[in-house]
Amino acid sequence: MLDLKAIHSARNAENAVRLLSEADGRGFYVAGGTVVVSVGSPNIDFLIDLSKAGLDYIRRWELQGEARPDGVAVGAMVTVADLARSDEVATVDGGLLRDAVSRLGSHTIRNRATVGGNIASWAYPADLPPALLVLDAVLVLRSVNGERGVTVQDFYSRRSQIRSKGDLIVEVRIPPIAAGARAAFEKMGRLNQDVAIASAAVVVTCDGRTVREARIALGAVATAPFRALEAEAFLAGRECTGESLAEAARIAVSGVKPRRDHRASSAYRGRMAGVAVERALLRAVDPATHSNQ
Amino acid sequence: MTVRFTINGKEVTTVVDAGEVLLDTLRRLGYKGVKSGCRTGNCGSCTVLLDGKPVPSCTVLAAQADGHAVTTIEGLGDDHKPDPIQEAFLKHGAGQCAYCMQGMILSTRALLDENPHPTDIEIREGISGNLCRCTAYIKAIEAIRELAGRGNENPGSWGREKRDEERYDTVGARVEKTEGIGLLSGRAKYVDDFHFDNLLYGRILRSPHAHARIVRIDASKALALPGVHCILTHDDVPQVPFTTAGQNYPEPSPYDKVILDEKVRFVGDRVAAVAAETPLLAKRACDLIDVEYEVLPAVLDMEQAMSEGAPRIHEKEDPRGIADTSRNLAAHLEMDIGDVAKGFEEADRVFEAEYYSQYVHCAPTEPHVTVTSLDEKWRLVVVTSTQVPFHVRRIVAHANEIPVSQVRVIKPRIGGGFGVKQEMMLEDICSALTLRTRLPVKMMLDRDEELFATRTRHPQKLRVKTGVRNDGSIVARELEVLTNTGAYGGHALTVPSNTGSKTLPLYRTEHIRFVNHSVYTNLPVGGAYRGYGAVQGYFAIDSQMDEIAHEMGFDPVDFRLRNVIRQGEEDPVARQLGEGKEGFERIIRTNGLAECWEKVKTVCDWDAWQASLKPGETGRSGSKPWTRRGKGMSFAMHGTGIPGDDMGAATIKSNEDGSFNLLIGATDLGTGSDTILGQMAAEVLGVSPDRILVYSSDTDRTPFDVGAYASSTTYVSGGAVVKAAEKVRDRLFYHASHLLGEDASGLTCSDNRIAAPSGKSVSMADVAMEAMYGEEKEQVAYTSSNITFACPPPFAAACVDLEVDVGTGRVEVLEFVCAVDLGYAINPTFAEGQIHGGILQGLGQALSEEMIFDRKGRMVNANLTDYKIYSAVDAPEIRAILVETDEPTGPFGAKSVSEIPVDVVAPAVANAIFAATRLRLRELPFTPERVLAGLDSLAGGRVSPGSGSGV
Repeated sequence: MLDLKAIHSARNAENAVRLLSEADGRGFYVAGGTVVVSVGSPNIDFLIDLSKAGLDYIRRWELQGEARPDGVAVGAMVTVADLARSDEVATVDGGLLRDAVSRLGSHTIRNRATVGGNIASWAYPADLPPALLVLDAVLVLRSVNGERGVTVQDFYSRRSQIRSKGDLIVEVRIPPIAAGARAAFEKMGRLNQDVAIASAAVVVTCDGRTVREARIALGAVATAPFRALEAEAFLAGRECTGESLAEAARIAVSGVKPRRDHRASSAYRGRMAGVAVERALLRAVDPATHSNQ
Repeated sequence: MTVRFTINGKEVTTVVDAGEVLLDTLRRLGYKGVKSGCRTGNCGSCTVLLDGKPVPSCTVLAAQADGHAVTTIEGLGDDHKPDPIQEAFLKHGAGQCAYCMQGMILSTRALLDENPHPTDIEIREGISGNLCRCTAYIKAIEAIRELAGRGNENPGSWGREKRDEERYDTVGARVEKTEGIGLLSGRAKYVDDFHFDNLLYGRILRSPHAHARIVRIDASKALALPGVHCILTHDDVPQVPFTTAGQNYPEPSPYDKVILDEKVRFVGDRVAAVAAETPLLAKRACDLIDVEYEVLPAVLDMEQAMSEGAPRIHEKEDPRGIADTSRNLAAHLEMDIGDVAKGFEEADRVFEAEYYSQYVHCAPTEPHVTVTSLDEKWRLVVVTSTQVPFHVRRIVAHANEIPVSQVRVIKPRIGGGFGVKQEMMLEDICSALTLRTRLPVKMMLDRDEELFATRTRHPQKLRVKTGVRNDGSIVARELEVLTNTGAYGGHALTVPSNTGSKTLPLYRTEHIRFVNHSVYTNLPVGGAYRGYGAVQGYFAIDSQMDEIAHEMGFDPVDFRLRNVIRQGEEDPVARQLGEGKEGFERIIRTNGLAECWEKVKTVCDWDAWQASLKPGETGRSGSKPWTRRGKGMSFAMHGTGIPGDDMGAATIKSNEDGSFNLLIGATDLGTGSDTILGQMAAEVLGVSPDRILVYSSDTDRTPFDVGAYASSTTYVSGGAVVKAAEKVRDRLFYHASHLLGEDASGLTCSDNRIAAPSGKSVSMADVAMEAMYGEEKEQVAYTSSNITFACPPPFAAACVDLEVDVGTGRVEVLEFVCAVDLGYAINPTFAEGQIHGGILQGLGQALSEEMIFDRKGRMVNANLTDYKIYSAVDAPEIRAILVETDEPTGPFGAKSVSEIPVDVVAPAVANAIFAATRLRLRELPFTPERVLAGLDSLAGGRVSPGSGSGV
C-alpha cells in the first residue's frame, strides 16, 4: 500500500526531472508501476508519473557517417509487450529483445512493464539488461543539467561515477547487430513464468563454423548484469563445437561470485549461469536444433 | 486529485488519492467484478482492459489511468446479452469459485480480439497472468479452443463412457452452474462486494518475533489519529481458550488460542487489532502502536521442540486437549494391528526410508475476508469467506462470550478454500471490533498475511518400514510420523491420524503399526489442506511401493494390484483410527481401482512405454540432448466424509408454481455443490434443475451442515437432500392423488409432471397450487438430516509423463493422467474439474511450492512471485477419467472426488523422476536445485561444470 503525499504528472522528460528536483520530500519516478506500485515503500513521499511524458515511441536511429544500417531508438515508456511486437526492433536486434522479454512476468505485466523501468531495476534480476549489453546499446539520460548519452555497459559497470541523483532514462538506442550475426537469450527459472535465477544473452557472428565475434552477457547472477569478456575472447577465432561452447560458458562464470537468496544458492545460481550461457550459444549457433519450443 | 477516464464507454470524473490504485477506484465506483487477490500484479484477479490491453489494475495508479479507456468485466456483457466467452466458459465449467475468472475472461477477450485463432501455446500465454487455484486451466482452454473454432481437440476431460441408457434425467448430466452467467459477469457477490454504511477497516498488528512475551503496549499515538476508532489488545478481549479449527463439537483440536494473547508464538501472530475509517489509516495506526517485547528463545525445529530443556511454547496449566505442554507435544497417536516385530521377522526383505513433506499453503485467490456488523436488533451478523459457517457461529460466540443466538453467519460466493477456510482466521477478532465499536468492520488479509499468518499443510517427517515376502505379499508395515503443527494445534491430532487411516488400508498388510507425534514449533500454523494428512502419507508409502518393486524385481503395477484391498473386505485401520478417537467398521463395498488403472494405462500408453525401454535401462532420452524422460504411476484411496461425525441437513419447500426452495447448510466454495445438490433435488422431484432455487450457508435461514471439508458434501449433504426431496415428493403425490383421482402409491414424477400408471398426469405447478390453496392448505416442506458411518473410499490411479533436465534439475511435466473411482458422477464436468485442480495443486506441492523461512522464523517468500503456483504456461495437459462403481451407500451411487487427486501426485512424480534418472527423491518439493543436487550425488560429484548438454 503506497502512502503518498502527491503524484505529479510529467509533460515531458525535462518537466519530469524538474518536478523531481523541485518537490519537497523523497520522490521517485513511476513508469509502468509493476515494481514501484506493487512493492511500495515507506520511503516514498511523492511520485513523478511518466505516463504522459511522451516517451512511448519507437523510431529509427540514424547512424550518420557509418556504413552500417540504422539502429532504433526506443522511448523509455514503451511497454515490453510493444517492444516485443515491434518488427522494426526485431530487424535491428535479430529478435534478441523480443526473446528476452518473452518470459518477463506474465502477459498482463508485459502490458505495463516498460523498457525504461526494466533497465532502471538494475538491482532486480531484470531480463532486458544483459540483452542490451550484448547489443552495445546506448542510454539517453536526462538530469536537471540536460541530456547525455551513456553506454549500457557504463551504466551498469560504472554506476557510481556515471549516474547522478534524479537521472531519468529517456530512451535506449540500439545499434544493428552485424550482418549474419545471430542472437539468443536464455532465462533460468524454477518454472516457465518466473524471475530469473540466471540469464544470458549472446550475439554470435560466425564464418562458417568459426566464430568471428561473440558477445556474452549475464543477468541476475551478480549485483549487476555484466559482459563476460574473457569468454568472448576465448571464442573469437575458435571453431564452434560442443566443447568450445561449454568451455566458453565455464570461463564466463569463473571468478564470478553469484549472489544467494531464497530463489537459489550461490553455487546453483552460478551453475545455472553457465548453463544459460552454453544453451544460448548453442541456440545462436544452431537455432534449428536448439529452439525453445 | 481529479482524474477523467472512460469506464466501459462511460465518461467518469472522480477524485482519487495520490497513491490510490485503479483497482480500488473501480471498486469504489461500483465495478465490483474487479477482484482484489494479491495487490502485487501476480494473480490477475483484478485484470481490466486499459485501452484494450489486459493489465493488473492493482499496479496501475488511478492517476495514470487519466485520459484512458478502461473496460471491466461489467462492460463485457450481462445476464441478458452475455459475451460469447462468458457463455463458453459457463458451458465448459471453466470457472469454479470464479474469483479469478472475471480477469481471465477479459484476457481472453483481448487475446481473441488480437488473434481470433490462437494455438494452445498462444492461449496459455494469453491467460498466463490470471492465476487460478481451483482449476488447471484445462476447461478454460477447451472453451477458448471452441471459440477459436477448433472444437474439442485434445480433450482434458474423458468423462464417463457412454452408457446404454442414462438412468437419470438430471443427475449425471453436465448441468451448468446454478449461479449462471452472474458468476462470470461481476454480478455474483463475494464478501468484499457487500456495501455497508459507516464501514470501518480492521487490521491486525503482527508479531515480528517468533517467540516473545508482550511486556507493554502503548496505543495512544495510534488512537490519537483522526479516523481511528478502536484498538484492541489482550487486555480488551475475553481470555477464553478455543481452537481456530472449524471441526465438529467437541473439536478434536487443543484449545490453545485466545482472540489476543499476552504472548506471541510465531512471526505473524496477533498482537493487537485496529479499526479505522480507511485501510490506509488502519495501516498507519498499526505502525504507530508501540510494543515492548521480552523476546524468548524460539524453537524452529521439530526434533528440538521435543528435546529436554526446549522452550515451552504453551505454558498454561492443563489447556484442553494438549497432549503434553512440557514437551511441546500437541498430539500423540499410536495404533497396532497384529505384531509388526513378528511381521518383520517373517519378511524376506525389509525396507526402511524417511520422507519429508514441506510447508505448503492452500493459497486461494481470494484471501480470508470477513465483514461483521450489528443488525437492527443488535445481533452480530458475520459475512465471511468460510467453509464452515455453523462452526464459525459456535466458535465466535464462545470466544466473545456471547450466546449463539446472538450470532448469524452468512457465507456468500467465496473465492476458493481448499481447507484454509475451514479455519477461523478473522471472524473472532473482527466480531470483537464490531462489538466494541458497534459499527460494521471489514477485515481482508493482505497476500503476505494470507501466506504466513493463516494455516498450512502440516509438514511431516515420515519413516516407513515395510516387510515383504518374496511372493510379493506385504507382511508388516510401520509408519512413524513426526508432525509440525507450528505455533498452534488446530488439526494437530486429526491430520496425522488421516496420514495413517487414509493410506495404510490401501495395500493389505498383516501387521501394522502407526505412531505419530505432533509438536509445536515457533513457525506458521498447520491446518486443513485438501488431502489432509493423506498427501504426506501417500508420498511416503507409494514412493516406497515403487522402491520395493524396483529392488525386488516386481512390476510396479502388478505388485500394487496384488496387494490392493478388495471389494467386500473390511478396512482394518478404520475401526481403530477414527477422527481423533476410535473409528467405525468400514467395509469396502466398491473398489474400481483395477478399472481406473486399465483406463489410465490406455490413455498414457503405459504398456508401449514399458516395452520401449531397453533391458536394464530406466527412462529414455528426452526431447532435448540434456533431458531424460520417464513415466511414473501411483495409486490411492481416500475417504468420503467423517464416519459418525459429519452431519448435513436440507430443507425443501414447495412453491405454488412448481418450483422449490432448497435450503442447505452445505458450503459451496466454488466446487459446484449448490448445483449438484440442486440436481439431486430436481431428480427426486422430477423437475428441471431451474425449478430448484438453491440457497445455502446462512445460519439463520438454512439448516445445519458441518460445512465443506473431508470430501463430504455430495455424499453427506446429498443424502440429506435426497431424504428431504423424497418426503416432499411423497406429500405432493398425496395432493396429486386427489387431483388425478388415482392412488398415491403408484404415482411417479418427471418432466415437471406427476403421472399415474393409467397415463393420467398433472403438472407439478397444479399440484403445488392445490397443496397451498386447495381445500387442505398446506405448506409442503420437510427438513432431513443425514449422517454417515460407511465413509466409502474413492480410489484413484495415476500416471505422469515427465522430462528431467539434467543440466538444471528442472522437471517438466508433459502429461498427467488420473482416473478416479468416484462411485457416480452427479455432474461429470464438475468432477473432472475437481480432478484437474487437485492434480495441479499436487504438482505445486511436488515440484514448486514451498514456504521458506529464515533463521528467525520469518517467511521470506510470502508473495506470489516466489511462492510458486502454476500459471497457464507452467501447467501441463491433465486428463481426468471418471470411473463409476455405483456405491450402494451413496446418493445415486456417489462417493467423493475432491481430495483424492492430490494424493496421487507427489508419489507419481517421484516415481517418474526415478524412472527417468534413477534418482530417488524423498524430500518435497523436487525443486530444480534439489533435483540437480540429487543427480550430482548419483554421479558421485558434479556432473560437469556448466553442463548444458547433459550427461
